[in-house]
Amino acid sequence: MARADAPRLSTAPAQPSLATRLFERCEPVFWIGPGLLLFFVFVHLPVLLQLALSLTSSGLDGRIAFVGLANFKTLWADADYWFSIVNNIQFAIATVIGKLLLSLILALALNSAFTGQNLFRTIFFLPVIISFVAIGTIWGFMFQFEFGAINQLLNRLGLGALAQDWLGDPRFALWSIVFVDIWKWTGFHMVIYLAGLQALPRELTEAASVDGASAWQRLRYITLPLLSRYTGTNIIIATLGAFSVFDLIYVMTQGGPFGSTQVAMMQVYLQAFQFHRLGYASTQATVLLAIIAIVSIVVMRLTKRADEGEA
Amino acid sequence: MTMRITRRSYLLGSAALAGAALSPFGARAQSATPLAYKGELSIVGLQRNPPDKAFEAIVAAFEAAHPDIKVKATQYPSERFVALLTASLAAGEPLDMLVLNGQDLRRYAVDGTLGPLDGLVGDTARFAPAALETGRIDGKLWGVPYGWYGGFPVFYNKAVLDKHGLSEPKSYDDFLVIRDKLKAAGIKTFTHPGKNIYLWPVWFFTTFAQTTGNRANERTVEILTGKGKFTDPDVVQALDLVFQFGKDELITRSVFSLDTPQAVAEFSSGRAAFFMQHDGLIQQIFTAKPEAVDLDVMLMPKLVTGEAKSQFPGGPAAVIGIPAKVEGDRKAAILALLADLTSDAANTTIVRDNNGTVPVNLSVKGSDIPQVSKLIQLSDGLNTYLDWNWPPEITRVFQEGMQAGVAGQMSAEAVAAKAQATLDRLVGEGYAFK
Repeated sequence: MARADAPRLSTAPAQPSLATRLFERCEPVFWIGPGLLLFFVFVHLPVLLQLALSLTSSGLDGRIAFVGLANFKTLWADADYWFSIVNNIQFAIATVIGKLLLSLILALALNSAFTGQNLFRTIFFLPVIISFVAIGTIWGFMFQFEFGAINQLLNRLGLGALAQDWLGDPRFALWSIVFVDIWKWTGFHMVIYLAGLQALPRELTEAASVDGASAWQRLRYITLPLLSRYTGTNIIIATLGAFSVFDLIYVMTQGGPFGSTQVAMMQVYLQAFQFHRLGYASTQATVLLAIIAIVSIVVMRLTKRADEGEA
Repeated sequence: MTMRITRRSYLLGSAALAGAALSPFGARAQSATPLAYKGELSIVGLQRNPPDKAFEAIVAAFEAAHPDIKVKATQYPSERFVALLTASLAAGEPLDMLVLNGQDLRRYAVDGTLGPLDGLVGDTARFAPAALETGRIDGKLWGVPYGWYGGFPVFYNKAVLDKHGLSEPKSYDDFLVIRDKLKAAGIKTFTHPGKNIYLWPVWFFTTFAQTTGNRANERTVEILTGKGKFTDPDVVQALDLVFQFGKDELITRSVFSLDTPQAVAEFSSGRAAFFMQHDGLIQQIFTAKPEAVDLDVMLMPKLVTGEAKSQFPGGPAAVIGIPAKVEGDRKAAILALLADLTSDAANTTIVRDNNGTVPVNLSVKGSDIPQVSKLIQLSDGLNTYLDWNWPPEITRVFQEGMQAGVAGQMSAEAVAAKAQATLDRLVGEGYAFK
């Protein structure tokens, strides 16, 4: 008996209608369109507006005047801004190195199985979820010269000579904030390194052990090179964070004492919200964006090269 | 259409009517002349914490007396006031009255937002001259003081001085004697929230009042209009006088990590004897009642030779202005409300309910607290905060420069030169003091 659908199977498939084809072609746009639109409105559009504003002199009164590159010329001669950029660079170098080293050490320590492993991971991650304001306030008390816990501890240990005015002395203020920033973010970078360590093929380190490689040699020649991608990610995230640091400094020192903890974002804040120079603040933010972009590109290139070398 | 009255709305309504009827404002407002205007009046003011209940009561009484008028009061936090008001004005929101921070009055007077009030606010002799002067720009009255005024005198702990056989200093040398005796006992002469850069300029305001022969505000206007310079000797000398406090360790380096609560703690625990602080400290001390403190208040002793007298910097808690666009019956209505808010009866309640210090109305007695009474006497000749005239960039230079100067990191000449360079740059960019 012939199948009922035989004639249909023998014919060529019917062409979908124009509307269907059009829908199929445009369907991805419908799915990703709203997301893209939101992304554009909240990420790209502000950057574009910032770029446009950087070419104007505008204040909170809503008056905007096109000034071309005049703001960039002013910025070039703005000693306060470049001083804050130098502070930012010092802050970035110190925090990136500190976070990377500490997080790597912690990740290596917490990667091996032992009782309480998860508890320690949680403890080290805890500062990440505490707000900057709370952290800044608590550490501000701890660093206080006379009643602060740190100097009290040094005095109790008979190390009173080491007690310093940690946030009130320009020689120590920036480095005290560096310390707090490292303390806050190390747990975050540790998690990234842990993810990397758990993705490493065990055969390589086991084979190296069989060949008689020491623990240091396994770390130096196998683990670290294989982690380079994660190191790159950590460097980029830490660098971006270091150049956009604001809240911790605002809470702990407000940029003082004597401007010793002024960073680029503090300058942008000052220009925009205290001096109401939105155009000039946008110029400062644009230059900062360029600096961050250049640093990120360099780091990505270096990481990529390291990856390719390993491959 | 039926109107549904719930138990809650009935109780609230009854309470409001009873409150309005029983309050002194209610009694006053009910006898007020009827107003031709009908509709809504819009007030934008400063957010107070705790809320200014007296203000709310006066407004409620006004509404009760004029049932056809509804008052809509919006409050913005002080630190975002300018930004929010700018947005509101740009959006065309109606505005009939502004209750401003004193330092913002100039901005809205010179840009045409506010209209002059000369001859519209009754007898201005009811206000303390120092408080009223804040509202006057270029000879015209743009705002009237509201509530109380106060500032930064020098507070001291009499108990600490008595314990060490010392008395209130009358000269800079007296401070040095006090420093030596207290240092031996492990007590600081001055405490100061030195981490908070916003509070450093008050030291300069205090010394500049003396180096200018009590012409601090006039000299400030001269400098900002190019008839003087920040590098002039009176400015440099005023800075130097403050920096000397650091050099002589009357203010020690340890204050640079103190914020306001920590400085208050240092003072109220008897670990520092003097404190140049806002007079809100009186209420703080009276609320906490610290055992180690017998609070007293004084003016900075005379630090210069010549005719100048000691003054302390300050200003009214708020200033009320009326937008230039408000006209006709609407203006008559809002002026009636302004009269209610600035009457002697209202002022008495406002100062009492908000723990204010020196009433802006001369005939209002103010608090019986001895320290407040003394402060009221000292307030005669209070000089308005100079940064109410400065552009914010200059304020910043002084904030950072004062902090650095007291720490010995910058000289008075360097701070003055930086202020002048900043002003020159601003003028080059189009800034003009009005």
